[in-house]
Amino acid sequence: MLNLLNLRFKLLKDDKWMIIIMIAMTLVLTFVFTSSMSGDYKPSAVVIDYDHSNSSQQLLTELNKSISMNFRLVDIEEGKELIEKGNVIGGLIIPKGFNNEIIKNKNINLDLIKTKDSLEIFQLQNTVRSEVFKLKSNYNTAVATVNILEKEGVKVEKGLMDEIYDKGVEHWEYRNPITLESSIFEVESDWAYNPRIHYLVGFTLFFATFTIVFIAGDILKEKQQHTWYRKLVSPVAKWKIMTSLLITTFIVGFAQMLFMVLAGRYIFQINWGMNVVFVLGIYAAFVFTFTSIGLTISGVVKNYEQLGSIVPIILVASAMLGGTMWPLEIINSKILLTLSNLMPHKWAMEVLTHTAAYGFNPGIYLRSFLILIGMGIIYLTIGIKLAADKR
Amino acid sequence: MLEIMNLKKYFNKTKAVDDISFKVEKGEILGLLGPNGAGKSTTISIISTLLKADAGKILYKGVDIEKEPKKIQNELGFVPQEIALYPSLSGYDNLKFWGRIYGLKGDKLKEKIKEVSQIIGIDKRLNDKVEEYSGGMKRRLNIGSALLHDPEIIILDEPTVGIDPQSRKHILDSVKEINKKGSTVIYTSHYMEEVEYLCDKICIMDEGNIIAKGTKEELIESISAEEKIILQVENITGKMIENIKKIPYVDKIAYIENEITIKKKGNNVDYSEILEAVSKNQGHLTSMDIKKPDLEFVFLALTGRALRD
Ligand SMILES: Nc1ncnc2c1ncn2[C@@H]1O[C@H](COP(=O)(O)OP(=O)(O)OP(=O)(O)O)[C@@H](O)[C@H]1O
Ligand SMILES: [Mg+2]
Repeated sequence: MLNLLNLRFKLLKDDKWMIIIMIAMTLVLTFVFTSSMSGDYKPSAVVIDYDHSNSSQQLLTELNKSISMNFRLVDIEEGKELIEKGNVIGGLIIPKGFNNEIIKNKNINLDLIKTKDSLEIFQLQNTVRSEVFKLKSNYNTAVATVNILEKEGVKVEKGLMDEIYDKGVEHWEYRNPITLESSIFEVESDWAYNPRIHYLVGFTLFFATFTIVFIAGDILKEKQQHTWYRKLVSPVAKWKIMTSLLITTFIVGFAQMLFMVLAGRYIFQINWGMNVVFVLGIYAAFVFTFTSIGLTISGVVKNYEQLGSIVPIILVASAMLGGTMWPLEIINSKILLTLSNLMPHKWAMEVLTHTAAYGFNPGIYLRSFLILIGMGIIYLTIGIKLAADKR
Repeated sequence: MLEIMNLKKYFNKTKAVDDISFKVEKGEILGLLGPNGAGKSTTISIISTLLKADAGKILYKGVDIEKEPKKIQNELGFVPQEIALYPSLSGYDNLKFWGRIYGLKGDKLKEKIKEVSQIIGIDKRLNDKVEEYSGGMKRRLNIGSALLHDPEIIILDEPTVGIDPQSRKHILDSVKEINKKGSTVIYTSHYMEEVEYLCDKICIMDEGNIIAKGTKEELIESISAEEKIILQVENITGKMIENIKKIPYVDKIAYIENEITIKKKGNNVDYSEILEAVSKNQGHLTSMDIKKPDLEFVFLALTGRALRD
């Protein structure tokens, strides 16, 4: 076994450039994407208010407190110009009657002006949506309270309504909406988008899959080189030959992950929201899954060259579906969302981004971990079967 | 030592090996001779436990190899038809790996690497990467990798394909040397010269069957072949062929381009009559060959086809 492992590590020098490139790509892309997305950079948006009401004022006040975006009140002409020039990412139009709709608790439709769809537009929509929702809830609470008091025969003084409303606002001030128990809230905002973590994790997973699948694909090189068959006629057990390949693949994949975790710690100053050991645990499960997937792919394709042409397609597609490139939350298609459940990326991303935003949740962690391990076992079984069948 | 009984292996409709039986005695060199696709590689893949037979049985020292593959695996040196080495590693690292696979280590391993690399003549290039070797050197290392553990039985599958005559001679002599040191050898080839030169016993295979087996002499005798006379003549004419045909001991005559092949009958032959017929017809004789019957003849007589296509 030591001999087999020793061989595999010697052979790794054939793959050294691929590994180096994959790590470098992860670092560079994470750096490029996060530096444009975080730090001093805060996207700006404009607000055009046609309502000039209490509610619209209130909304603007709340929006201005946002930490991820800047808002500016302008008139429509100026707004259009800024958007066209690209100085701001988009504009929110508060229509006439907004106040009325809030009071009557109607469905509210706001207009957005934009030049193109982007992640930032999505961020804008999200921010506005949750602020409007807060506004509406506060108002409803205030109205409901007044109604109850009046029913009880209490004479409500003028101004009490405003007071209750202010209380509601205060209430929000110290609490993140997601901690509230409300189903609508969960749908609306059980998601905190942190571009730094998203890109670091996304690129780490994405580029690691290349390393892993290509190193697992060395089994094809061995078959083409015929050394595989020479090993099979030797007295060494087949499971040892197989295991040595899998162990090496796992170690290299995991080392790449470990490197990125360290980079996250020291270069990108990531706060994972959990012990690094847990982060590595998820990464290890992910590497295991992809080692097995690599073995399966190697069993399906004919040779290493075919692997080289087919793997990028598979890996890019699955990474997109798995939400490493952009958050799955911006996808509406039911089919795509269903498919995403089959992608190991999704489960790794989910637990890592979720934990970073809300803290460690053993249930969510365990679910992702077990799903990854489960997928890995399924693919491993298929992969071993395929490797054994083919001459 | 090795007994193959009623072995069969079909790939879909291809009858790669179709019910063959033969024995290999300790210390001999057995040749498996046959054209491309005869089933040689399939046969030895089954013997070396790489493939499973569809039917039949193989006993190695009385032990069924399917039931106890470890027995033969430990004592077998297998030289595959293709070069099975790690091109990015040095010759030394390759030998070391294959030696360790068979349980060699430490000083013993070093010693064997030195010994084997001398036998195969690559001791001066041991530290170079295999991908920098010439074709012949790779072939020789391919063989050497199977020799480190002093195998009791060595199977070589066309080990001389595609190399220069010098390397080839070296390989054949190495095989002889290994055999002298006590290893039993199974050697497959479609070059009858190699098999003639090396082997004590020969099995001729064709289309999955063994069509003849025995020593070289037995095989040639079995078909009572005759000599052939081959002439290289410039400007062959129809008249010239007619004249040669009339010579009493000429049985059959055929010609293509500048070559005339004559099959003779009887033993009393006066070649001058042929030369006369050529010169009388203004033919210009450039060479004349008398070919003794060989395994090529045997194959031709048994199958009606040439050994090499
Ligand atoms: N894995 C396989 N699948 C299908 N057919 C096969 C397979 N291996 C061998 N064959 C077929 O079995 C027959 C015998 O092949 P084999 O390789 O044993 O011939 P061989 O005598 O070694 O020929 P060569 O001199 O070309 O090496 C051929 O017709 C070949 O096409
Ligand atoms: Mg062959």
